[in-house]
Amino acid sequence: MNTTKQADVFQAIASPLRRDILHKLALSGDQSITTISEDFAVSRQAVTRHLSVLADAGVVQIHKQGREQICALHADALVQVAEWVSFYRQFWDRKLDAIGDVLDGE
Amino acid sequence: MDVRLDRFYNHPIERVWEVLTTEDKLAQWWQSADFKPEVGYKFTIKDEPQGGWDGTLQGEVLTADQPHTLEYTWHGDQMNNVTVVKWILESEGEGTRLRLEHTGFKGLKDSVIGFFHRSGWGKYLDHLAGQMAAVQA
Repeated sequence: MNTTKQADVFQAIASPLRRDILHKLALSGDQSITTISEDFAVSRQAVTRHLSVLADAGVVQIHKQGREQICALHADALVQVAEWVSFYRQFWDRKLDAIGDVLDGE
Repeated sequence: MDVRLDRFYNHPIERVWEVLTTEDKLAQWWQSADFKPEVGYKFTIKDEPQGGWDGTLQGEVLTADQPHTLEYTWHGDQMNNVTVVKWILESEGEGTRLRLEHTGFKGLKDSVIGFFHRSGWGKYLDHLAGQMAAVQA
């Protein structure tokens, strides 16, 4: 998972509604967009938009089943982001930049 | 499950060592540092507080082989386990290749669970824990 992808995941889970959607998928298993929309007091368009953010970040997979679009949680992407290894990779990458700035600034 | 990074700096190895080990240089890339490159020295480094973490990091120097290797334990953050940070410096042409290894990420499962606990994802946590148990079984 590259840094851009991780940033996407962090952004994806920053929204409370998107977290609620993930929560629902985690508890209830795969759901159609119609069912998800019914459970949240927002329009189907809004839910679809949030789901596409989640899908782009790789935390939700959407596939067609007849006329319905079915959403499934892809927890692996979340687990990878939650890992401190990922956190520290970014943390140290910034520190290495800062070391370069200190060296160059003298 | 380690972090390994490396970077080339167009500066001599002694200069890079100085930035890694002297308090006034450390304070330029951390907020502040109580640090000495002596084996057994227990240091405290402060970084910007973020996400409920007060920014304090503590550790003990394990290796200080000027200007080649600096190694210390690393704890005090939200991980609740002790990891090891190792810096390896090598002259490369006119400059220096700096390698960083951050190892010892054990108990990752607990850390992940802790992360979700703090995020208030109690129920999701159960599902996630179940999935991870299945993966490890």
